[in-house]
Amino acid sequence: MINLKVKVNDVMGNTDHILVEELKNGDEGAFRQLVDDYQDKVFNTCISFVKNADDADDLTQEVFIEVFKSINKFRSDAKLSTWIYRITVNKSLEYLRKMKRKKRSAIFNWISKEDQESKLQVPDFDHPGVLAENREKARILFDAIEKLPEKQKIAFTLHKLEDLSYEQIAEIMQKSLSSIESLMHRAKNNLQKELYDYYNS
Amino acid sequence: MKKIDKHIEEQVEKTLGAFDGIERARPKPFLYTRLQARLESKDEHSLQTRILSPVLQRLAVIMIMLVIVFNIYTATRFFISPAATDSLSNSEQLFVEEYYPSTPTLYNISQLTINP
Repeated sequence: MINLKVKVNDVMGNTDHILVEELKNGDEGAFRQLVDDYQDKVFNTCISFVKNADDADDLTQEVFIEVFKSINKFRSDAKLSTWIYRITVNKSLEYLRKMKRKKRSAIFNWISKEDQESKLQVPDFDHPGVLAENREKARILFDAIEKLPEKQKIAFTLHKLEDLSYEQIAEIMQKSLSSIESLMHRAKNNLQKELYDYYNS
Repeated sequence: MKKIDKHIEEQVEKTLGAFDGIERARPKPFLYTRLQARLESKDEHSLQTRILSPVLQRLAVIMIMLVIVFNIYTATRFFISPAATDSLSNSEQLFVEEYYPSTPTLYNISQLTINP
């Protein structure tokens, strides 16, 4: 079983290696294949962070443009998926920070009050992949995740919404496995407290 | 009281499990086509800025040079020593006389020194 897993990883690694080489040579077919292979993963990660389908679509495109532009900086010993996930998380967080800054500056600008209300208020978000019977609870959970510290939010989102293992998250966040375990533990505790307060009020 | 606590705990647990069985969200169709269009427009934009900015830089340098040359020209043309006024035309001499008179006028009489 373990041997089979190693072999699958080897094949995946080789495929990635070939794909990266083709991308570095400017092969358009390789870029198309990369987009086909990763678009769902990138979009799902983006939408889980930014909670808006249009913005997530926009960010997904930006991620692939970044991949296209900086593929020559990609180290061959690294994992392509890890690198793409890292770009995706960084782009999403960058977007969220930008929106926060806009919101803060809009507070002092009464002229743009209407614009602020229409653009920056995060509406109740329905993730398209959530089961219908869980929709209401998922909305409450998304609101609670929003209140987590940034690193806990990243770890929890990647694990629960993108179904990544702690090892993969550790590679993406460039942290040790034990620190990811600790982040997840704290995230769950904080969410429990937050939800308890929500239902108790 | 215990019953309420238990109910809340149940709700919390259920909410924490709200992502169970979740599926990946998918982007709108034709992402690659949209991406290609965006890449092309970005290329075009960067090409425009790459071409335009050196042109604008050169234009700015030429404009500054022209202003400097004009200033030097006007300074040498009008702010010259009285000895050189002989070579000027009538109208130019009149101009120099008016603005740089050789005899004191009422405006600068106070600056004159009177020998005892």
